Amino acid sequence: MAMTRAEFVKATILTGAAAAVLSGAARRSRRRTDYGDPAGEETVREIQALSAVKADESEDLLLTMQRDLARAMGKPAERRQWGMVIDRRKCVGCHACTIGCVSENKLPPGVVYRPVLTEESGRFPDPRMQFTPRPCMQCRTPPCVPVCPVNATWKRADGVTVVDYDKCIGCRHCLTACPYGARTSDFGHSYRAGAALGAGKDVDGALQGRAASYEEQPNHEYGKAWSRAKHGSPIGNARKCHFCLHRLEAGQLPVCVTTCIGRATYFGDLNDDMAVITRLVRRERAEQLLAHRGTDPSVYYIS
Amino acid sequence: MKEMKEASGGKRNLALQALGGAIWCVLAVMGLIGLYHRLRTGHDMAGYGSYVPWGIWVAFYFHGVGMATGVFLVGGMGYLRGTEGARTNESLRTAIVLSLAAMFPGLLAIGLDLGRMERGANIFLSPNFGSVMTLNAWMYNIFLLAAAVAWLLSWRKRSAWLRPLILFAALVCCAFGMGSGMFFAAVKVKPYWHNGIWPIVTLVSGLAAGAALLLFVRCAGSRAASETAEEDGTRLARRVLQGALAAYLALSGVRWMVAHIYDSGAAAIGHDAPDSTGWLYPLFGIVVPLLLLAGKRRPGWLVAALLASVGLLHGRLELVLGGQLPTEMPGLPQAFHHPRLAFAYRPTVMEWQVAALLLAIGLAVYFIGQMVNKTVAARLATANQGASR
Repeated sequence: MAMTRAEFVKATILTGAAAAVLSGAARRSRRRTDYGDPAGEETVREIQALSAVKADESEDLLLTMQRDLARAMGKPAERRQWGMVIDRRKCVGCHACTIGCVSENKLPPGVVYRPVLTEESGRFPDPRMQFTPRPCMQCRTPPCVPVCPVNATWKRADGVTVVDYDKCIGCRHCLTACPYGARTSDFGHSYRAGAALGAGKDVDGALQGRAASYEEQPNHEYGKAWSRAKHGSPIGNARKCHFCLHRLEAGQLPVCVTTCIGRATYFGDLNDDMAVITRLVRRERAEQLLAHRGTDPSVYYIS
Repeated sequence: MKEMKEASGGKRNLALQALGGAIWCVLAVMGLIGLYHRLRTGHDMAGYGSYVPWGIWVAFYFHGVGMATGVFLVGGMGYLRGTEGARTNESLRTAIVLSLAAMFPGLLAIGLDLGRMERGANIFLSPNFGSVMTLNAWMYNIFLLAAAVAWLLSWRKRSAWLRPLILFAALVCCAFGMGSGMFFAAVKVKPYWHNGIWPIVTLVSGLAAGAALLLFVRCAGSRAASETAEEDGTRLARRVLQGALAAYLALSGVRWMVAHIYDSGAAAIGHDAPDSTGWLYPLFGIVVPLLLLAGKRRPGWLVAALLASVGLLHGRLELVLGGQLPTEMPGLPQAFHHPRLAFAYRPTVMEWQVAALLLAIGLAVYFIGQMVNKTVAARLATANQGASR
């Protein structure tokens, strides 16, 4: 039996209404830019560190970047664009940045924000090793953001992509959308209480087990105390590098920058023409990783 | 002679029912053990990690949702067109129950896959409609609501809204059937996924899986009101399954040719690069079922429906894993060691146990739904008889 005209009209009304509501909502979601981040004057910080120390051309690079940071924090967040430059010629593959990050953010086993990739090339007698520290690229068009079903991740005005641990449902869609593998899921693993005493024969067994008491101490990502006790967030959430936003707020450089023994990692405000990293990006023909993917990272590499 | 035949048929049915009940109990017990481990230890015993974050539960989710799409499209559109074998309200209600029986386990699978299950409702409270996942989740609920209302209206003698509602629900089914493919195609940085063919593949796969389920139910002993209706229903499901499997095979062939013969690059091929066992799934999941369906033996059709369902599930898993396993970052798996940081995936016993639970729940939903259908029909018949007296 064919459908009558009246039945067809009714079906069209139902379908049209559903399509209009969902497509309107989709359009509005895509245009959304306000995630309630602080902006304007309330984000301006007066960093006093080094204000009494005279700048010197021969000073340690960390001091220069600290001055860059103080200058950037003196501007509202929306006028900053945090970025990083990594000089692969200087990186010796010591993994100090990786460990510094694990320590700073109290990362559990299986969660890593800044691994160092090793590439071997050439043949004896001319072999080469190149190291690529890989933080979150803080892409200008991050592919991980639009796939989040609950608006738990977004790009802040200062260029850092953040995760709201209280909102994230742990679907891990953002993990699959990142071509850099920069997001990891916190599966709730813990280092064993005695891990620090020695790994023993069974490495996995020794490192994973019942949580040591120090592991339930809160970390302070995003300026909030997150305790893993009683399966609290960020267990079950997607986690990623956030350029140590909690340190920046306190006028400190990201921990991977300060722990780099070769001074291979530069950090600063890409909107500041006087900042070390801006000059490096222009002068050294810095490159972006997987530039062909169109994500436009804020992390640059010098090779 | 006839009585003897009937008696032996009754005994056989009893034996089959007992066997079915025993299988269900095994599935349920295995599944409950898996569920206990999942709830007790979180994702500790699962095989996926951060570099391959989705595994068989995600494949089961898409397979279940796809199957629901297929069942409702065949049953609903057949009802609207007045196709033999699908034109009665009874067959419509069976299709609705079957689509729910396929969808509920699928949704449970994805719920258990979440890192924070208790926040699942955020997808409705704080939705990002720019995400295909959100759109799909909302469409599942719109469909469930429409199907429930259609089921209620189907008991009325006349309803001006039943047929429009079925057409609407069928269109929503098409939308989320394609939405399963869109979910992957929207990930623009993964060449294997970012491909316009996936929404069509997932819709066709769902149609085939739904038809396989309908055929399986018909061949496995579910009886329609009359023998003619029985035969018609079986014929319809068989024909749709044949067509959808042929279309699926053609689409898979096109995809394979583009990837391998015209060499669209290793990244676009994903993990289904030719290996020594790669031919098993299209052969036993698609080609053998097509050959069995071409025959005239009912047991053959039953086996074909089972094989096709498993084959199509494998296809879903291949789609899920295909975009995750290749990486463009050489050295990443070696950079930081942990079992969760590997570009490899092997489902664990716990994952399979939960999969068994999904099957058991699907079967339970179907049998309970059909029981409700029969009970309501019997009560209405009694009430009508009383009224006519």
